[in-house]
Amino acid sequence: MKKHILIVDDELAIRTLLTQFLTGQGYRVTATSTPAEARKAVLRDPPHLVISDLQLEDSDGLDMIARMKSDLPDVPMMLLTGVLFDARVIEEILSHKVSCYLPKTTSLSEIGVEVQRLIGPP
Amino acid sequence: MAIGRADLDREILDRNNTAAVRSLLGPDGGTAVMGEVRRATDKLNEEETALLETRDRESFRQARTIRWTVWAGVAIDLLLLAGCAWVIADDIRARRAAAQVLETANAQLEAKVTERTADLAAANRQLSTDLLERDWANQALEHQVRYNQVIINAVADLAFVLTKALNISRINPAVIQLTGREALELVNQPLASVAQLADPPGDTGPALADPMARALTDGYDLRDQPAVIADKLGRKIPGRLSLFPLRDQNKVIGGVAIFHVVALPGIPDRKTPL
Repeated sequence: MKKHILIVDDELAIRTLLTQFLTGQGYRVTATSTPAEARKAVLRDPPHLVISDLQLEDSDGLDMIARMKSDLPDVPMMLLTGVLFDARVIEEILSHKVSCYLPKTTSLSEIGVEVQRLIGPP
Repeated sequence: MAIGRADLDREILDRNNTAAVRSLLGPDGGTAVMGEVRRATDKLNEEETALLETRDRESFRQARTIRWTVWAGVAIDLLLLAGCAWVIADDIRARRAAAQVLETANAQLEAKVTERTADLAAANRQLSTDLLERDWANQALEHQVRYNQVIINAVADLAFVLTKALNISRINPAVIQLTGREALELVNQPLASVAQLADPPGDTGPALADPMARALTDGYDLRDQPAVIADKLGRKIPGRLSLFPLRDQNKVIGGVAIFHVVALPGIPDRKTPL
């Protein structure tokens, strides 16, 4: 069965493009816009990888990831956000909270490479 | 009428006339006549034999001719048959060769079509990927610009983005709200046309913009300076002005001026909740 990726982003265009790309790469993708929807999706179909935005409507990505880790301790979490962090912040703070941080300016092919690095091929 | 001997003989010979023979044999029945008859018979036999031989020879020749003709016909037929067989075999060979060539051409064509189809499919996939990549880049850029704009717009103080010549290149909504001037009226105008540093007490010098110019030239911050800003009606609103150089790769390319309104005439201090 194809590996499952859960996307959490409040922007429809981002969700659509990312879903299109990852589906094209052979992964099974569930896209949600809020942490509540993401939680339901996790219970329904546990993912192999979670890709989350930072700034969400009713929470933030890091908070959601922290709570999700209790249910999915071994699942890698990727933070994909438009907020550009300082290299030291990434090194000292984000690296302890997420498996991977990527700014949204990262190309899709590079995102694909990171996804493969984290969970392998589809 | 008496029949002459010669005539009688001829009659006997010609007509095989029995009566004549008897008349001849009757009186003498002689040996001479018999001899004559024997000679005539022998001659007759010889002539018949000659005729038969001639006939046999001709028959033989005819049969031989027929044989030769038949054999020649058979030979020609065989030759024709062989020729036809050769032509048919050659035609079959040619057809097989043509079929082989056609089959090879078809296989090559099919291989080329398969290869071309694969190329087109790959190009199509690449194109789709490129389009997706471009859409993603546009989306990321748009998101980034919007996010930066949201940050600037969220600042309640008046923000002016300046060129190094201290001309306004961008403002936040707070500027429009306070001054009543639209961006079109302010962009590309000197900051001094709307905001000025207040004269220090006792200073009569005119160069109010100089500290800001120097700050941008030398690349240092100018913080919390008393200043005034003029609205569309010409009212002077007092406040505090800070100027921060904009650096790009260690080069000052402009500045950001932040004007904090202290109090509007007749309006409480902006820090006080309304």
